[in-house]
Amino acid sequence: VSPRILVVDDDDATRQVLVRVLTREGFTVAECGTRDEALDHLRAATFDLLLTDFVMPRGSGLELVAEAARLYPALHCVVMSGHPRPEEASTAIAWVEKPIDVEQLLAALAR
Amino acid sequence: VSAPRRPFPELLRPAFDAAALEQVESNIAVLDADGHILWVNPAWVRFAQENGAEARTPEGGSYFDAISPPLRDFYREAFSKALATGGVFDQEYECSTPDKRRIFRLRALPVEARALLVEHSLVAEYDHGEPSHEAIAERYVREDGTLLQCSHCRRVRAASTHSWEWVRQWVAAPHPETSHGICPSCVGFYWGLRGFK
Repeated sequence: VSPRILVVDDDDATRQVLVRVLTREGFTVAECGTRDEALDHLRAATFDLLLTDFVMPRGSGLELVAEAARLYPALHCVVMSGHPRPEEASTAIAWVEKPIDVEQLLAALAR
Repeated sequence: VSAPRRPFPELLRPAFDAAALEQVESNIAVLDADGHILWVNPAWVRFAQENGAEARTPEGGSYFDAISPPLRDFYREAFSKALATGGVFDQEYECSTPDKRRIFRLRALPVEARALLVEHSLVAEYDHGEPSHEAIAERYVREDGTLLQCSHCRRVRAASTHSWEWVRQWVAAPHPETSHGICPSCVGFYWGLRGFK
């Protein structure tokens, strides 16, 4: 069974790129653009991985990760950002730099 | 304290004047065929120190480590081609700061197919004369307080027109509420042409 991943990013182009890359790599991918939409997806289906942008309108990626980790402790979370990891972000959360390097992204997801 | 610099590579001595390269204002590095930095001139060291890049471009390190990952392959290919063909790689590019607009020219000169002399020369530098902070914010910051910047080219999307434009202040350091996306040109180039082969 292919791993299920939820991609969350407010930028349509980034989501489209990630869906194509991750589908090609064998993931089953769902995508949305906000924290609240992501929580709806997580309630509606089971996911193995959450891949989220950091800065987004109406709720940051870190807020989403904190909520998702509380509700779904088995869910693995990866944050993507063009910003360096902020001090308040746990080092347990994988952090992937933007612009995205596919090899770096896949390595983070593999962990 | 900077580490002592390496001696000028013997490979270049027959053709290049080491003392002259030591004194020029352009930033020069000599790379081996794999991109390792064999030697840099004092201007290179000064520029790295002034721009916070010293740790990323030491002698012995890889020139490509200081280049953002999506661009590395481009420069690797360009430099490999220069080495293989004996041709010069020549490119003008922008490397501005929040205060100054700066245009540089990069030339990579192959040396007997074994090394490259890479020279970054300042072409133009002048003050930005930027519009006010308020005017910039009004144009680019969305209602929720965030803005969208292309993570590849660093252009920012105007909130109402959705056109992608460079905002000098946010090239060097993004606005704290920046959400990083990809502009249409960069999607096509980095992900369409290069990313989905």
